[in-house]
Amino acid sequence: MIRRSFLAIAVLAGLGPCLSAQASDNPRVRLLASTCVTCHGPGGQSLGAVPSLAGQEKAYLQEAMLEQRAGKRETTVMRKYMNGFTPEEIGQLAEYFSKLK
Amino acid sequence: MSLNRRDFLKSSAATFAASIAPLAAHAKTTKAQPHVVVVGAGFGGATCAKYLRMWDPNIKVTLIEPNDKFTSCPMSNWVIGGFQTFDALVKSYDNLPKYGIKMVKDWVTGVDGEKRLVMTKSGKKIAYDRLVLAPGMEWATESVQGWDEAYAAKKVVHSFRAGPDTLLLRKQLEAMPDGGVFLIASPPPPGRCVSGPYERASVAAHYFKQHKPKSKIIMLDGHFDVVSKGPMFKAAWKELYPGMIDHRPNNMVTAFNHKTMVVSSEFEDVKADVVNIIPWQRAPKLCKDAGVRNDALDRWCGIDNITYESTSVPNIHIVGDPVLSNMPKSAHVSNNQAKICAAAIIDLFNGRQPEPVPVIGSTSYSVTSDKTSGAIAVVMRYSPEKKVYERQPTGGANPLHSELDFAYGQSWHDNIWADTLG
Repeated sequence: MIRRSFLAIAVLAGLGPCLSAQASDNPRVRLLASTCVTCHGPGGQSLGAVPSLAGQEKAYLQEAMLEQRAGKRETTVMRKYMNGFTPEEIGQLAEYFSKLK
Repeated sequence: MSLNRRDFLKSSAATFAASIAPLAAHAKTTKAQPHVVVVGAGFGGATCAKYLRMWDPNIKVTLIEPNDKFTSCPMSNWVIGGFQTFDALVKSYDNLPKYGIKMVKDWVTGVDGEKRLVMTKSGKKIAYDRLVLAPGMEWATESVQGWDEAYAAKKVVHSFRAGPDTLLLRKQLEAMPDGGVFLIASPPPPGRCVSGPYERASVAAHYFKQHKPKSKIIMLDGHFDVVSKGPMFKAAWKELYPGMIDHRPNNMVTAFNHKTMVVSSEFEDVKADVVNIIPWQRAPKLCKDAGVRNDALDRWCGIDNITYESTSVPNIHIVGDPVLSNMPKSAHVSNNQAKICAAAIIDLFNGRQPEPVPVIGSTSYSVTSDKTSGAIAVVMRYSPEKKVYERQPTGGANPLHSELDFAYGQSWHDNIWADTLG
């Protein structure tokens, strides 16, 4: 049974070659992004007033986060969050969430 | 072993849907199917089990939990304030098996770290390759003289673990006469949810203001001040409940006589009508028995800050409140630690170096009424040079409560529950 499971994994991986080049493949980015979804919802899809991140334009997400980081955009908690991440990480997170559906 | 395949099929669907993980790479490098046993399905344990399966469906995960359902401590003060139902705190575990997690309803009685075995109350012996302990807290009730007798007589609760005691405290407040005194005692740091007692004072004041306006709330606080969201709470109390909340810092409670309803601190005796004493806490006995409660004070579990593996027993990881660290003991931190631990376990099984600079976020919202809330947010990054998680600049609490933070706070609950459980 275990062997068959491995075959199935390989088949599944084959089904999703479009995923292989994405930021979601970078384990560090995936781990950083997992801190975001605690508030923004699993897969970046929020269940309420906190905005969803999944599928947003990368440029929009990146600009918003950088402005929050610089204190140029009104926020309740996001400025506090964004100063914990580097501009490079913010770009990677924007890319990651833009690719989620 | 038909479970393996069934588990795999369920989890692979979930994993694929979440478009996560280079599956083929893991399958190539891992010979057998390693087994992780997770103890406790709270914000730490359930999250760890779920993310282990999402990020590496080759890992077999067993999650042991004594309760049929999850009861959320975050939001439980809303029930005590009378503007939320208890049912709203109760969540199903039904989605976790969809990730291929094997749920076992049982109570873990012991761990054999050498033989890598978990023993349970029902007599099971479950073998693990790696163990994740997420058992929450144990309350040092012996630190308050008279606690056990008072608790047996239903004259005191801490209600810092949501459950029947949450409702009991609510009923005690409902039965209290107008003009009565509600006493809240909070322990010195470190402990679970430092802002919880201040939020509790706020929701009680919200209730009293409408129904028992002559009543008073006395806080005997083991901290030197309102140490979490202090300016926000003080401003909200002044605005909404002037004169109702009497906060007395540096005032650790040592005894309670439930027959006279007198609470004694190091400095004074206070008579009250409803008494809510939160004793100080430590990692549960299970952690001590497993040999991982290993700090000098015999309270917390020392961990490697990258893998969350115990500093004393190999292959045992600890997440959440029992961890020895400078991080807040909150649902959000437990959830984030669980993901770092899951990622590290996957890397260790696959012979890779775990992420050397993990990042933890912590957000918490405290309501000040049924419409207003105040937020705190902090990011902590691990510094390999200093070997400690460092708070990043600009983190901290908002100085004022707001209706916007109430809306965000409501959404925070829905999202962390979904991230943890489903």
